[in-house]
Amino acid sequence: MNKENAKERVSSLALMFTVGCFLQCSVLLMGNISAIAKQDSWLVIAAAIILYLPIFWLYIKLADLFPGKSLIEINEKVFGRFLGGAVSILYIVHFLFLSTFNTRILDNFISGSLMPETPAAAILFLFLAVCAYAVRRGLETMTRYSAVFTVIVLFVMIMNMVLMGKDMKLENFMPVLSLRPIKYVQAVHSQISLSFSQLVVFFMLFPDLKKPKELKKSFFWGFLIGAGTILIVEARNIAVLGGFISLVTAPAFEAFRLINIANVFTRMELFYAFVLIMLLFFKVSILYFAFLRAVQQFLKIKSYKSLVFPAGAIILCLTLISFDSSIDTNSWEGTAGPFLSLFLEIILPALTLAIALLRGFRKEKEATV
Amino acid sequence: MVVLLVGVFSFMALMDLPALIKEKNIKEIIVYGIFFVLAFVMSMLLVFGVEIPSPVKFFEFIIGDVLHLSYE
Repeated sequence: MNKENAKERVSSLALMFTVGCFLQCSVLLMGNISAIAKQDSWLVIAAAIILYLPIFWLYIKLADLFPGKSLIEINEKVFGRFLGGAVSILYIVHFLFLSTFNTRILDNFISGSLMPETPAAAILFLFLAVCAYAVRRGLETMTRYSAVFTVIVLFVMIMNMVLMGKDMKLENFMPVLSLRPIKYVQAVHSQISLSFSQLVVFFMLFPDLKKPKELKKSFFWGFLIGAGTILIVEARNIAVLGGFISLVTAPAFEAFRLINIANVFTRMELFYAFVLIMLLFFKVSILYFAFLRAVQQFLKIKSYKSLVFPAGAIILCLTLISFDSSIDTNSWEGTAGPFLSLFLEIILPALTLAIALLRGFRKEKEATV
Repeated sequence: MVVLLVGVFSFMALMDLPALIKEKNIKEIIVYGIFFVLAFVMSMLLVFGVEIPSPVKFFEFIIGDVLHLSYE
C-alpha cells in the first residue's frame, strides 16, 4: 500500500515519447480526414500542424502559469470552487468519453478486419484488462515503454516506406487544391480537434514530471514526433493509394495490404494490426489514467488505484452502448465530434487562460520537488 | 453469463475492498461503492439485453439539432 501512494515521477524524455506515441496513434485512423480532403489530406495535416501551434502555445502558457498543477486544480483556482467544479466535471466526462471512443476504435478494427465472429465484449474485456493492469501499476511504469513503442512505430513506418517504394506514384497527389474551400476547413478542424488537441489530457500528467522546467521542450518535441509521423504516413498513403484513399476507412491498413515483393513479402497488414493494438493500448491507458486522476483530484481522495477496475467495467459498458456500428463512429467523427472537442479542448482552455490572466494570476513559484 | 459476471465483480471487490476497509477511509469506500454499483448495474442491464440509451446520441442531438453546428 505504501508503494501505491508514493509519488511517481515521469522523466522529460519519457514525456516526450509519451506525447509522440499518443499522437502517433491517430496515424492509423486517418479515414475521416482522407474521406473529406482526399488527395489533399497531406496539405490539410501540414496546415493543421501550423494552425495548432497557437493552441499549443496556449497549453504551454497555462501550464507555465500554474506549474505542478493539473487541469482540475487549475479550474478550481481560476473559476472558483463551484464553477471550477462544474468545468472539471465536463473534463472528467470528456476524458471518460475519449477512453470509450478509442476503445471503440479498437473494437471496430478487430471485429471488422481480424476477428468478425468473436463477440466484441470478449475482445474489449481482454484489452481493457491489460490497460487496467498498466494504469494500476502507475504512470511511471506506463510511460517507461513509450520510447520503445515510438521506436517500433518508426521502424515499421520506415520498413513499409521501403517496401512500398515501387507502388508510390507522384501523380497520385494530383490535382492539388481542387476541392471546395469548406472541405479544407472541415478537414483541418477535424484533424486538430480529433487528434492534436486531445493533448489536453496531458495536463493531468504534468504534476508528475521530474523536471517541470523541461516541460515545454519535451512537450514540443513530442508533438513534432507525433505530428511529423502523421504527415509522413498520410503522404505515403496518398502516394500509394491515390484517389482510392477517400473510399477506405483505414488508409494505412489498405496501403499495407498492397505490399508485395516477389510474392515473398506479402500480407504485411498484420504488422498494422500489431502496431494499432499497441498504440491504442498506450493511448487508452493514458486517457484511462487521466480520467481516474481527474476523479481522484476532483473528489480529493487519496489514491485512484482502487477505482481502476470498476472504471474499466464502466468504460467497457459505455463502449458497447455508445456506438452501434463503425458507421456510427465515422458519422460522429464527421459531425458532432469535432465541435464537442473544439469546445472542451480549445475554447475552454483558452477561456481558462484568459480569465486567469484577467484575474491577475502571475506565475507561481515552482513547487518544491 | 450472469454467473461469470458476478464472479468477475466478486473478484474485483476482493481485490480492492479489504484494503480500503482496513484503511477505514470512508470517502474512498463511498466513491468505490458508487463506481462499483454503476459498473455492475450497467453490465447486468447489458447481459439481460436491456437497451440503454447511448450518451453519444445526446451529444449529437445537442450539437446537431439544438446548436445546429454542422458542415453539411
